[in-house]
Amino acid sequence: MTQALNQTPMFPNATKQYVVGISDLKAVRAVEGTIVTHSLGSCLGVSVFDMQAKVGGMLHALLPDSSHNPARAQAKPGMFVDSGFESLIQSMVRLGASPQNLVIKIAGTGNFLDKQGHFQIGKKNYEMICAVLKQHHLVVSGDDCGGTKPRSLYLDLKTGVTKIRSRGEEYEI
Amino acid sequence: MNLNLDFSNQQHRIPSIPESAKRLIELLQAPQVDPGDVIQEIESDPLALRYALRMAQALQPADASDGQSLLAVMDAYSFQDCLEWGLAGALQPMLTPNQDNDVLNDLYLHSLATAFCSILLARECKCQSQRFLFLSGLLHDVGLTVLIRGLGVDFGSTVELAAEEAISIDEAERKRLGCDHGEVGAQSVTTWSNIQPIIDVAKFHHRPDQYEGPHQRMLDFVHVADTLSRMVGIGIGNEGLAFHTSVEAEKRIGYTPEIEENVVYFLLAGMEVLQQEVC
Repeated sequence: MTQALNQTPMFPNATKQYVVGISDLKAVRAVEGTIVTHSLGSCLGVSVFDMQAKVGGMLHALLPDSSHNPARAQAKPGMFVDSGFESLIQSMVRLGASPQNLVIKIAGTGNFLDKQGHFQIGKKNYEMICAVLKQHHLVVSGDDCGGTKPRSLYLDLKTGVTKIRSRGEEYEI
Repeated sequence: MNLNLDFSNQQHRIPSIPESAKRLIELLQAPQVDPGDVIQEIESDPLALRYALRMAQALQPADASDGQSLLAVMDAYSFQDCLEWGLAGALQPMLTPNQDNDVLNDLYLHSLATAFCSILLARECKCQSQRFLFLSGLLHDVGLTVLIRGLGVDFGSTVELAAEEAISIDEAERKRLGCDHGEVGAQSVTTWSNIQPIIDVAKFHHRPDQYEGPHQRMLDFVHVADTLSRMVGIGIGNEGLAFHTSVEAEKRIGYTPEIEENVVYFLLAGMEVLQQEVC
């Protein structure tokens, strides 16, 4: 049912929807519209908003650490949490956002049922965004992370409201 | 509610596969095959042809062009590869019977990503090409397709039960249906062919450590590919990540973080190519 739910507008009055794909990021200055990313499993979704500058941004990062492959991170910064977040903030600042005004919310970073498994990418993605935010003295205002459920993340560019859609439920974070 | 589904009495509800797929399976199982017959058979089914060409392009997105011929693809890979990719295309109408069914569409996308990811994993793990690996990946969840399409099982209720009781989808299926989709998949594939690796992978793809047979490596590749494609969210359905993963399977194939990164990178690039027409 995921697709059918995704086709229903999360913010009915929003005129334009900007979709952020996997390993991608987007920064937008607009008075209205929605930024959305779908299919967050172990990936990290970050929504960032500056209400004063009316600049919003979103990241859908797949892996935690760009240091393993700087060349790939340069070509596609959104693939990694650290390079993706840096690149997103830089893009937003170029559009007029101020770092002190940013409202940051995070979602995703799900994990499989095994606590001892090697597939702890979700956990590592979560740890990496926490480390990056700490390094920049930034805080998270809302989050919906962990567990096994898939998520879509929406940011309303008019109000800054950030919502999650998962398994037929919708809620604000 | 336990439906106590006795699947042994429900086999008449397993969907039949298209005629062109049956002919391609015969070629796949034949002891000796004339490549000309393979080309003729694949070219007679537009979906099979398109699929084979797109797969080659997806494996080498930087080098391949849109206009290459099936013969060129066979030169670059092998007619066995082309045959498997062609069969995957011929099976597509059976795997995605209803464009409005989002559960089946998500499932198909996930299955395609798993098949493609299995090939990438084998390549990155420096493993020699394995016959039926792509098809084993594509059909690993065919039991779910049969349960939803053939038997009208409401998969949403299974997902809800798994979430409520914090158990895996397989456990929820056994509780609710009396069998899991791996068992249904194995029986289904058996009715279409006797290709044992595909049958074994369908049955054991969520529990590779319990398997004792000659296709362990293939099973491990598909298990890890299944996990990776869920992790990156391609075709991820409402079930999300409600599965157990095997550390032993990762060890057996020599899986490392570097391999993981390469595989997901090429998986995303390749799926962009495949989704242009195949999905």
